[in-house]
Amino acid sequence: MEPLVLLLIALLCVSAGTVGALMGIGGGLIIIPLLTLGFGIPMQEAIGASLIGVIATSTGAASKYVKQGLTNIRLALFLEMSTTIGSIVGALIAVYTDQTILFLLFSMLLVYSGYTMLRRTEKLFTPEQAEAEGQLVDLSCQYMDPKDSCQVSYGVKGQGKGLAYSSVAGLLSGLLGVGGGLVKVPVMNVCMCVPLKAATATSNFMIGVTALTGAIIFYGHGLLDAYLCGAVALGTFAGAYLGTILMARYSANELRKWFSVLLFLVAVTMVLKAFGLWGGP
Amino acid sequence: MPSQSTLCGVVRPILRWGMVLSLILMLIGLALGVIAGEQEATVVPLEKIPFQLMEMDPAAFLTLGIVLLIATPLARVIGALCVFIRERDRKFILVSMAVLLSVFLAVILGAA
Repeated sequence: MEPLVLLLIALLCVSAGTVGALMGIGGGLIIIPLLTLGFGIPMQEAIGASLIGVIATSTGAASKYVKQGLTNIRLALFLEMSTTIGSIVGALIAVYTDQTILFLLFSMLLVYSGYTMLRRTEKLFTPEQAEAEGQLVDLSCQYMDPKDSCQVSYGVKGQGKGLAYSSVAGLLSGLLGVGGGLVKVPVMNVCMCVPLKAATATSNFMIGVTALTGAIIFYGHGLLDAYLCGAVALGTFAGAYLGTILMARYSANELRKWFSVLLFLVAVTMVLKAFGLWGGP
Repeated sequence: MPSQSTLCGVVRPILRWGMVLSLILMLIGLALGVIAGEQEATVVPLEKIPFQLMEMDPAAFLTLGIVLLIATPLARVIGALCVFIRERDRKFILVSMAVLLSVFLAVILGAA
């Protein structure tokens, strides 16, 4: 790859890192179409590079969110038990699956993601509903809401259900090189009674461990391009840093609408690519 | 049960230093690659990294950066495990061990 191409990829990946940090996702939804449709990189190689970029986004943003106290570290560890297993299975399937099928699966994921983003509203709970007695483990946590500086305490319910759905997020991560945040955030909010802000920060934190099991398998199979991964990681690191600064000033709500439209358009392009109607076979 | 702030105190520096170190290594690798005029290489297998680092191979620097980046989230799981062991939080010692076990499984399957 030419140095200029690598520089261009790194610059474009800055946007992936920024959006990823703002929305609590890894940014794979941007990196994969960018590499496959924009630069004609084979799907498997793109998934590998994307997993590295996803870890970079998570690590870059997480240290900031942990400092703010929004991340529920124990909840993250609890759900990582199932996301990592899902991710291993997904990565092993991806390594041996035909490109065309991966393209089609990815476009389905894009449509789902766009849909969730459009209709995502926060589920709120009364103190009685948030009471979490008799659960497997105590995952209750509290944080200071940065906007109106009030203390928010919550208990975590539906732990078995949460574990089961999280394995799906892990599977998607290993299979398609994304972070799975768009599955994890609603699962934590709707099934486990976690406030949206805490769910977003916790999802961002978890993405690093979820993607790392997939990345190890891609590394072991020699499917990572060193220069491509380096360029993607540097770009997403910078973007994630930018995202955490923007997070304090802007609301992600407006951005979400435009982003979902973009996802639908990319989904159509991915289907065209799968059938060889975009940029050659 | 360890408080959230104890956990944060251990996890945050791990994330920050892992990020800084891997960034520096990847920047060196990319710069060396541009100077040497070669930008095409798959990752170097783990056991060959030290030898190729001595030879100033750009791919080895990039790979070490990538390996460090992958290891950073893993290190924060180990960091949290140490806190749980110190505080004798049995349930969460088991939870952290389960996460580490599946990463170990990925290493075995990746090498196969």
